[in-house]
Amino acid sequence: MITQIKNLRLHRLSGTIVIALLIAAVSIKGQSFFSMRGFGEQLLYTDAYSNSLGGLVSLGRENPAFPIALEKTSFYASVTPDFVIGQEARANRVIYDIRPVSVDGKIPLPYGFRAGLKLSEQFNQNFNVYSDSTQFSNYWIRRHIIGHGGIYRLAGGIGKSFFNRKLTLGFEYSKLLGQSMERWYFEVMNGNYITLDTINTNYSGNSVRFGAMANISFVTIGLSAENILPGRINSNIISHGTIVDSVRGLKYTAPYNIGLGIVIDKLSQTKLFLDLYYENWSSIKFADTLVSGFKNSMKYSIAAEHWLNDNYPLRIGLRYYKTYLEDHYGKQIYEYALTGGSSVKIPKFGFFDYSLEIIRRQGRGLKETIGRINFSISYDEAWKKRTRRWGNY
Amino acid sequence: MNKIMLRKFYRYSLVLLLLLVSTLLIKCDRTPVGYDELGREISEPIFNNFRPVNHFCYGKYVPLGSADYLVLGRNTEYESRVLLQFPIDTVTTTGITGIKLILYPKHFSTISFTLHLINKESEWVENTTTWDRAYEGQPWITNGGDYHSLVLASATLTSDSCIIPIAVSSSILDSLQNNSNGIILLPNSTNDSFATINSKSISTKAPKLVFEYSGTIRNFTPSQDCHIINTINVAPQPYIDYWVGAGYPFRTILRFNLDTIPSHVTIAYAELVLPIQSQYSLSDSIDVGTWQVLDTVYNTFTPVASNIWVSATRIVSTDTMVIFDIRKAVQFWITKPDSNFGIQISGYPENYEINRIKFKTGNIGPYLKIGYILPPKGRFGQ
Repeated sequence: MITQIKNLRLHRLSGTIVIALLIAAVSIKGQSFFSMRGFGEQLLYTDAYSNSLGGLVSLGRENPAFPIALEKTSFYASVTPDFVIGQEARANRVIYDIRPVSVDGKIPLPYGFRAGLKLSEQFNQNFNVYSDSTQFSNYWIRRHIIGHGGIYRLAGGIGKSFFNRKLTLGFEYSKLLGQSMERWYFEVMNGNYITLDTINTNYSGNSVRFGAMANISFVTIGLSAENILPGRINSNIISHGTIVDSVRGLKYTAPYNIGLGIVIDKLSQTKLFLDLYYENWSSIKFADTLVSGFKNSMKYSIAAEHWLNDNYPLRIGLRYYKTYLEDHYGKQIYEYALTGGSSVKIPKFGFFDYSLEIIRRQGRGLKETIGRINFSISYDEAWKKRTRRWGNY
Repeated sequence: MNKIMLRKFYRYSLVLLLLLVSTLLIKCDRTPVGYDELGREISEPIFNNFRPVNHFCYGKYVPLGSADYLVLGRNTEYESRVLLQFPIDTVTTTGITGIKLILYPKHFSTISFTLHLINKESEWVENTTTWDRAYEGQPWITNGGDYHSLVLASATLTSDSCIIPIAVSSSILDSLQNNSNGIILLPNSTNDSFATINSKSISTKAPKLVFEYSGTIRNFTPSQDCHIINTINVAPQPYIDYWVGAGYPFRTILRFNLDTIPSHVTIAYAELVLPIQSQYSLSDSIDVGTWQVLDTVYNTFTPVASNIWVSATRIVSTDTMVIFDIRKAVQFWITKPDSNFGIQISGYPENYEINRIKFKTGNIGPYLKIGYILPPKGRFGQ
């Protein structure tokens, strides 16, 4: 009884804090401080389940073959609030953001087939930075630059299970669409004069992704591979209300990526996860020319999920991720993260997943500490034993 | 139950308060963290000063008929007369025992003046009449208005309402009604100051002509009123001086050569600075504005845009310079150099009262401070 009351209070307090944070975060657009380069901050996974397990790619919803057995229709939607503390040269800046990051659905079809549709954020280009205030020719000047937007994936996929759902293969075609707007404010402060230049950029592209999941005894293996087809970038630079520069149809040839994941379900009520991801960003070309500033990225995740009882999982994970970007010193930006999360049953509906990631991301000079929360809500089958959830929908 | 609700209320209030404070703190945080990671080519701003390459300064009679206040008076530099016309053409004059003109000054000094009838032949139109013309295209026979030498009345403004009796006679009544085009108020040459009188635009304090009959009175407000202003020994040197003013307006046209500024830049800062040498005004402040000049030929008829171009600025006696933020104007000139005909600075409004600013000339005279930046580069160097 006492435990129930405590749980009730905990839920109420959690609810209050969550609502308050959501309301507050709406007023400020946040960022990764590293999302100003390249295509922005890459999101390899977008749902709370994957996030809580160190960031799963091949063992999560990013794999077209996931889950290995799809029995009922499933819809999933995720929202991510970010809290970022940037640190550079003994200066700190805090900023936060909230935005929806994905929504997807999968439908089982006869003969072991399935179909799916997904909309998710792939690159985040939100940022908000100030330059230092400097004196130039007797005037104090400062720049303030705000970026909004990103690149999104609209994907449609099919899959089929074989061998009594011991093997599932999936294929997904994605249309990559993106739009961003950067507003460059220039302030001359002795007169409070503010000037605005704007950069509007549109992205388009396509990709195909293959996935496979196989279950052999207590081991489940996930594989994914994606080939991003050549895309196009259009951009306008607008100063004082007129287009002063523009780029039409800049071709980019994007990299491929591959992922491998292994789940070991040997221990009672506990599963162990290993997820690897590689992307050859150094091969990216603009207008058929190799460009510098991009590095091959590699992600390593290890995680564990333990079920305290049939309805209450605990998830924890670690991640080390060398991103595709280098900082302005030329050093590859990397991150390591501690992740955790759980699920709450929503009777007659589905479940509510939540996760928390504490991420330390850095180059040589700039470091950022990110507190990233992810909320995912799922509508699918009636609540059932969760111990096989990763591959038993 | 109430205690529980109160506790809940405190808890929620605390959370919201913390939230509000943290939001404000985060919003006010402007430290330059992460700026270097932009990795873009960012140019330094460029600041330059420009002196006018062409200028022209002139004074001109302008219609003052739509002013809220009528100016009456004179000194060694200006004279201002007031013209009034009342709708009395069809009014019966039989039985009139007295006539009064009532004025309500807004600002007054001791101004002595005389009333005269304006000649019947000299029709005037308040919206176009000036010191040298009765209406558009029709000059007065004598500058300053054509009037009878007969003095209808003499008076002195000494308070905030002035009642001026006019002697009644059949000839005056006949002249007033049938042989004149209203009344002109002439300040005496002994004056050395000015008064402002509420015009018909201020309906509650408009000038009144009162006809007194035995047992009754009839009031008339003007069908037309205006003032006309002349200068006496006040004139700028057109290619040396920089004057602006109102009443008898002075205007200054300036043009700057901005060919050295690239056409695609963004003007971040553009201040037109006019150092003040002296100023004269009936009131505490002078309002000035700027207009877009539409022709390269500078004279008293150089056309300007009808709408004010850059915001007006209010100058008080302690100001040492007039500063306009003309970023939009400079951006326009940079983007369309063929339209850089110049900028006109003049009183705003020009018909309100009498004022004048003389600006310094030469190397300490007007100049334009411009700061501009090159457009930013996109993510991929485009």
